[in-house]
Amino acid sequence: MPELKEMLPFIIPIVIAEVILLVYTLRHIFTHDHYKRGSRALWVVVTLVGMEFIGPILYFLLGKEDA
Amino acid sequence: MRAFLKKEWMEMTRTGKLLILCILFIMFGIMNPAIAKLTPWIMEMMKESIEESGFVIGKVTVNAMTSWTQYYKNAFMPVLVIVLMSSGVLTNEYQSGTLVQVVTKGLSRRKILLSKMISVYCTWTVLYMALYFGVTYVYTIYFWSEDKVEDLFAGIIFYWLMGMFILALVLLFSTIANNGGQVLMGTGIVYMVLFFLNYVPKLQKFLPFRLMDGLQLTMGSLKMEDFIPALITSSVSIVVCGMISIVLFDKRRL
Repeated sequence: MPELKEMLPFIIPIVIAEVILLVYTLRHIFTHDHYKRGSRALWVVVTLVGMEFIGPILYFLLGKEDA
Repeated sequence: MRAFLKKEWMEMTRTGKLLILCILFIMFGIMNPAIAKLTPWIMEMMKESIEESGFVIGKVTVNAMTSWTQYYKNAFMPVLVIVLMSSGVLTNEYQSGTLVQVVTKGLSRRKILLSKMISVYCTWTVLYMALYFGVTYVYTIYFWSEDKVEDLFAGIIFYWLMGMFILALVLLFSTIANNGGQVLMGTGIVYMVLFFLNYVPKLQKFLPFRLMDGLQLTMGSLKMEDFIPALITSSVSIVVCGMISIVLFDKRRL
């Protein structure tokens, strides 16, 4: 593995993007009462477990109710 | 029309589409230099299995070209994402019937189509240029600032035009199809036809696929002249597709 320090310029923006997406998703979950599938608890768990992009994307694909 | 454009913008931001697109495009942009930077390490990992099959790995050198090779290799992903996102741009509105109200209130169909076109094309342009290209560019300059890459921007713009061409097809099919799946299918079929036509050597020069070969321009195996026929056919097809879409959209039942 290359030096961690060398990879930092890549890791930092990825982490920032992850956090932004995570906060946005959680906010969306908590400000909406109805979902296409599943419940609030389920989506919070999915989002937190799959924090590395996959959870939030799953929520927006499968859980978010159509406007 | 400005109101309608504003509505498109609101839709993009409120549904979170814009945020997700931005993050995806930034990720795609970061990926290219990151893979380039990791190449020596990956080679090291696979060293044994490669040496077993008789190849000897010398010193692996990574430079700006490695990053740009990755850029062209992965550039189909942003195109794919934007196509998937835009496939519903009109069809979703047919299905929910929201366009009927706007048209009966007196907004002309052309203005609707035009705003849709503007919003799709602008999204692609901004995301591709500022995020996908921009991010890769900044990283590449940062890590390999001493490397000279020739004719880089021309190749980048060619690929952008290729994306515009595909989006023109998506918009054209959006005026015919009833749902997003049909739009994707139509675009896919045209893509396949072009793909097979690309095997005819005489045609290669003229097909939009040539625009994806920006890397060869940078490496010097293709010259600027080789791209001109493809540039012309693509630009003409974008305009023609646009005009056909306007005609078809005028007649279509909403």
